[in-house]
Amino acid sequence: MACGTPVISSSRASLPEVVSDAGLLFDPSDKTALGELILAALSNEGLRRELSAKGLKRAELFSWEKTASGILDSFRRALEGGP
Amino acid sequence: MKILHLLYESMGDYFGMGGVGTRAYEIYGRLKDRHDITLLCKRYPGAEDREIEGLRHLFVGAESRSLTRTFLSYAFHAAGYVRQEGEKFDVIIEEFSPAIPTFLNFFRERPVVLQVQGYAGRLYFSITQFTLQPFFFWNICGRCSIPASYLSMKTPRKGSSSAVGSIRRLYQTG
Repeated sequence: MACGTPVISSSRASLPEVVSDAGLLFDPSDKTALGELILAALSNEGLRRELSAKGLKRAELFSWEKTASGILDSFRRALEGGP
Repeated sequence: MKILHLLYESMGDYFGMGGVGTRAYEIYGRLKDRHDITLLCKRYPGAEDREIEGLRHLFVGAESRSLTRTFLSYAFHAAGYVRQEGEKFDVIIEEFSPAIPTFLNFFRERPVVLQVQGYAGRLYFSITQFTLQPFFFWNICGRCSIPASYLSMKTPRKGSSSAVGSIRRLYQTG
């Protein structure tokens, strides 16, 4: 997403949370679904542009600085006995 | 803050390093100047306690070229380290992997934060195809019980129900 490359991602684990609507999601146990999404992206320039723009915007939400700060907050809460 | 992180994979690891290690180095690289960080890693052939990327690395477990033996030995020795030295740290971080059963929650005296980003759940279960290899069998059992055992040890507090919900969602969709 940060490179402006259209993203096709597995719909499992944390990936949908990260990708949101900025990429195309597929069930990793469904090879046909993956193939169809790849073909759709390859054959549709408008879709590729849309995914690229959404991905760049979405990627701005994430940074290692933010992650480190959030992680440290959770450690502090653990120290204080919170959830 | 004195942080002990049970990080089973480290930079230069004979068995390689994936997202868990990458993530830890990115985060601790940004925290190391203001906090005292120790990474407790699995030993691998040639590993020696030292600083890597400005972070203190301790290696425990058997030196072996077998990943199964390395993981299980690491789990045993990492838990032993926490028993002996855990009091020296403010908080202990454990990466969740059922392949590494430390059972810290049963003897913790310091706050333990369980990170579950390595959870692959149902997908992993389907990959193993119900294989009867003992290690895979243990993995599957661990995935079904270890995070829940951490939660069951937790005193109910405001917000803890959402943590339980997160674990349940991982079981269902992970």
